[in-house]
Amino acid sequence: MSAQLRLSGVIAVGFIVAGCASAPPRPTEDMTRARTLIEQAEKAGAQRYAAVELESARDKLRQADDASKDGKQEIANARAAEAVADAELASARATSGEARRAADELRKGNETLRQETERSSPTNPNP
Amino acid sequence: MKNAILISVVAGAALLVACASAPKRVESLEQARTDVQTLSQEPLAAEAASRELAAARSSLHAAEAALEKGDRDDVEHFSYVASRQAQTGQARVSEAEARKQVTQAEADRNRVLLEARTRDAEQATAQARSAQAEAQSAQAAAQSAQADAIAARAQAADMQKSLEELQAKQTERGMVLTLSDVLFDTGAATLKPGADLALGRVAQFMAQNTDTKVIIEGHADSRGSDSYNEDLSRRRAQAVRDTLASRGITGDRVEAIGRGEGFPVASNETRAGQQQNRRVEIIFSDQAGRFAQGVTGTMR
Repeated sequence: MSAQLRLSGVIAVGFIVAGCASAPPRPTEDMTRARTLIEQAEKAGAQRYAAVELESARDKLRQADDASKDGKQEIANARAAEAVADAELASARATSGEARRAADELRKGNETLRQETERSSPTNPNP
Repeated sequence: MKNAILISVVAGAALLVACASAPKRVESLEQARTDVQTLSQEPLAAEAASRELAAARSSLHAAEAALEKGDRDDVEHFSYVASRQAQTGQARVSEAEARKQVTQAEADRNRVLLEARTRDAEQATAQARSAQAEAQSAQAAAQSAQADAIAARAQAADMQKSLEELQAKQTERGMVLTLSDVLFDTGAATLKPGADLALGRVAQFMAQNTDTKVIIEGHADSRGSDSYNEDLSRRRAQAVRDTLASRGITGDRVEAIGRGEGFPVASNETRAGQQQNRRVEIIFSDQAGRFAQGVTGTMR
């Protein structure tokens, strides 16, 4: 192998490395997913039922973005995965919160209904 | 000096052992283990959070593996994710419980409504039954009234028959029994024994028909003065009343009136007519003590 050939190899590798460094940071799959899940959580009412978890998801996604820009892809992936877990938790808490609220309202409605029907029961001489 | 070296070696070894076991006590990993354990013990986990439980177990496994390798960052990362996934599963369990409560509450609501409707229907049935009972009782009352009316008519018919047996006559003033002049001593108010039989039957009739009343009217012919005739007719009527009283017919059922000569039933020109005009009339009420229209006296 000639010295010239060896040099060209080094230059080529240098270009490749430079190319990688200068390319804009590509969002990872988990980052895209985290963004989508955060939007879903917001729509499900997470701001009301799981504000802390929702904020944590946003914070982790920002950290993933920052890491990705710095080329720290592994860290970006880890923070994005954590953001996904946060966003899913926020969504689940919002959904279960809505379900519990619906159950409470039905229970209260039933209580009112029961009182009303008992008031107009045959024990009342003037129903 | 040798002892001191030995002690420090042992101490150092002890510290190394402590350090080696320390990573086993990573706080986030402890938390993740607890969270996964808690979720796996939820009765509804298999039904409502199987995906979340599986993911959390997988992440916990990765965290344990990272601990073995000594990768503290991965331990923290996977422990965090495992905890979040387990808590998400917990939220799914809570949602499933709430949905069951919703189903239960809807069933309760329907049951309450059904009970209320059933109660209303029972109430309506009871009201209908009570109305029916009232109608039946009204019908019974009407039937009873009808029976009473029939009985009253029968009693009236019986009375009529009894009075006819007394030889009372049906007139527009009701049933009237005439006691003729021949039953009285001439020009006097004393009854002859023959009158006893007739008045005995009248008393018996009035004892049997306890609500009947009589008005006894004495009449005279045109001979003699008006005052004489009026006085005689009144005394004859009173004599009849006294006879009835002696047979137990009390005075409140009997009224005696002297009518004088003003109401002849025959001509005063003949002796036969005069004799017919000298008479005592017993006017009977109906079975309830009521007299016919046109009968005068303080009792009517």
